[in-house]
Amino acid sequence: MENLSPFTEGLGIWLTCLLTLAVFSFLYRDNPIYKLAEHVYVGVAAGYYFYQAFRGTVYPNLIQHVADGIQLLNKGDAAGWTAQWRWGALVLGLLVLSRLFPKISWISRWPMALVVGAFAGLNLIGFAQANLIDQINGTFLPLGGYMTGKAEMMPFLPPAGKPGEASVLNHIILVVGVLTVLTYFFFSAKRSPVLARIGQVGIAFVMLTFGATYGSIVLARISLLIGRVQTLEESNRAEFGYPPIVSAVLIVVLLAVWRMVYFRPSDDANIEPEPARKT
Amino acid sequence: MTAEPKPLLIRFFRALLALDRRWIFLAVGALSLIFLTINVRLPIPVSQQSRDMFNVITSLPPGARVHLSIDYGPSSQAELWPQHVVILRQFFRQRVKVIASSLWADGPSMIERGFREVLEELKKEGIEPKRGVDFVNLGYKAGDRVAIAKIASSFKETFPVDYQGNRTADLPIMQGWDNYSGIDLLITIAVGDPGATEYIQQAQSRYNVRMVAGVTAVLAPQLYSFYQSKNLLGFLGGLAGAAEYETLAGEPGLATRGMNTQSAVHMLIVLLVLAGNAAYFYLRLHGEKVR
Amino acid sequence: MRTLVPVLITAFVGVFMILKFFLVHDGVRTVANELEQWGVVTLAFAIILGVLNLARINLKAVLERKRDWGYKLILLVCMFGMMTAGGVKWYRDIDAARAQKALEAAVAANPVAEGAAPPPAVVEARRASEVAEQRAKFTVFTFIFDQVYTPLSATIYALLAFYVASAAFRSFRAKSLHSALLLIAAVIVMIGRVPVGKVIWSKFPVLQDWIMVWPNTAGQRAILMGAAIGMIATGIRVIFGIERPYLKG
Repeated sequence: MENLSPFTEGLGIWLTCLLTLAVFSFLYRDNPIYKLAEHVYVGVAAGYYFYQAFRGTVYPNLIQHVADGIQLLNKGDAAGWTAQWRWGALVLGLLVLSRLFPKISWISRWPMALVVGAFAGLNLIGFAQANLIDQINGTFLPLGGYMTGKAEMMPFLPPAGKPGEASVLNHIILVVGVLTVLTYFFFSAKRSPVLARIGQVGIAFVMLTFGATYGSIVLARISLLIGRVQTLEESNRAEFGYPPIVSAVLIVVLLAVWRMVYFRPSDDANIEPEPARKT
Repeated sequence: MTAEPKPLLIRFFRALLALDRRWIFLAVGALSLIFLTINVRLPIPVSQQSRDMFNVITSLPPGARVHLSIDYGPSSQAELWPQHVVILRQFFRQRVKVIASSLWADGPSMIERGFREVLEELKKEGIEPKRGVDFVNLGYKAGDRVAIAKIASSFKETFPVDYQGNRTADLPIMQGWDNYSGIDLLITIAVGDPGATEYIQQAQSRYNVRMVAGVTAVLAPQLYSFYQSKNLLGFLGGLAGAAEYETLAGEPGLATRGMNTQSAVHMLIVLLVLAGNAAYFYLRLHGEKVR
Repeated sequence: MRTLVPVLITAFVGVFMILKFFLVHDGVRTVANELEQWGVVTLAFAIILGVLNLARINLKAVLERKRDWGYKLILLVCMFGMMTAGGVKWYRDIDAARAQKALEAAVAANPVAEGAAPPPAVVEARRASEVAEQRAKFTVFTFIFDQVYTPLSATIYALLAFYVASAAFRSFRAKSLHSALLLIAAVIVMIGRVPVGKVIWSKFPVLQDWIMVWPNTAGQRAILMGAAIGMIATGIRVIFGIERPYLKG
């Protein structure tokens, strides 16, 4: 970043390294340094979210919109009236805040009802189109087109060395997979022997799917670590005094002091740690 | 129980299963440090969905409008930032107009960072797109899929001002269009909900807008289905997807560099799984109770 | 009042969202658009509610000197610090926009012949505009986002890398045919998705690709379709007031 002064740049790099390693200290065990970093994180995040929600949405879509309407009315333009509908959003917004006061918190159901209704209506259409119709088409159209001679020809077997390419066999696997898994989902309760057999095939597909997802999760998590290690490596610059190495030593020393002087085994909650959940 | 000492292998496997997990942590950490400094570059196999995405973006003519929805934050930047920069660079080189917005509060800052770093790089090539003319950051909009539905009906009503507070109605880049019929490509770089799936449901499938996506590896398996049904014209999955794209674009960067470490840690995990299973079955075979 | 009004609101809004999709009527569209704006603003207020609630809980803990109140004080300081930094950024953005307008006005008021040096008023306005833009670009707000929030957020999630490794070792066992399938698929994806896979066996990436494109698509698609059927059923129940999620909590 060429426009930052060397002081600011150095400060930033030091902060990055110290905070990164402070969080990693959790791998040893929960400790005051991690706790400090955690609270700083929550505080900064909350402040940041407040700013974005207010400046990004509440101000332009509510306050400015209404103000613009009033300005139009002052100029004698009746179009300003339609903007005044937005007062409704202000009322709903304030009703959301009624949650802060237990006695009247029930009234926050009104705005939530609006959100729930909007989500329900939008989801109904969106899921029906994208998750259902489009997926049914994707499953059956290529094969149906092939059988009726209306689609471009595809080979029965995928070309050698490229098993992933579209072919009749792969499409049959797809159709069988979708149908058996759906059978497993929807008819697993009333088990006739035939449905149970089909369901078994369905479970096999589900297992392959979950295995693929699990492999992908590993991929994702390791990438996150790589990102941090890359940052630390890039920060390891002589002109700033090797921030990551010095930070690491500093944090290890602090942890050692804490462990020897202040640590009480009773503080150790000894819970299986699960730092944060990611969607 | 007899006093007789157990065979070596049994003792070894028992010790293995009782291993303090912090040793595994240490191994993972050490491997990632070591392999990041190793400069051997293995060839990166490119998957069809990444190639399709590259072709879709490459075929955009100069002046085409792209809606770039940046739906991630620092928590997943390790995976998505490399995708973000390599794609943004390509957009600007192709003189594509970039309309960026976000459904995640973290997003606008990532958008700004993206513009800042990519523009700085491209200055050296003599490419200097102008804010408000060639690109715009419309900022964050709360509202999840409601916001997407709103965006789809009118960009200017959803985003009355851009991230810097300028009126969008006055910006040159916003003239002459207001919804997805004026957008040549929708692309979301997304970590979760709202993200690619929600854009497909509320925008792509409703308005038939051409769409591609860059997502984390966790989300990628789900997108194969939308890719096969042609809702998505292509997509990138995680850091590996970014590395594939860098390979296609011919500019190895952050993601390509990370692939060595990724390979090494994956091998470690596979070995651990195999060792764990070997220990489990061996001990079971010898009548031990193991979990 | 406590039940009937929300039920009616939900039904009204839900129906309009659906109507907007099927009817190309201006009135319907206008109402649906306005309702969407209300939804967007309401959800922004929900975020503000979350932040205010966090502030209240922590402020209470600090005032009553509860356990770990020191940390909570730091949390509050960081929260209000970031809000203030946001305010400063906002002010600087406005300032930059004003300087830009002033520059445009100066250019318009001082027409220059081609090749001639620009008049001092324009030079001054341009300099002021550039300074204001720089000041808006590099603020404490941006600095904290890049150098405090980013490393913290990224590292907290990076911790998961260690836990996923340890969990794979501890609990990933091929105890049955089904779990063996899961394990095999996972291992193939793990190896086939990274460059080293091709070095070990040239077919790993191909095999990985096949699993992803066909069996995985089949499974994912069935999940998508199942979710759609569930969502449609829930949507209808919510709109008709049979299910009332907003009454909980």
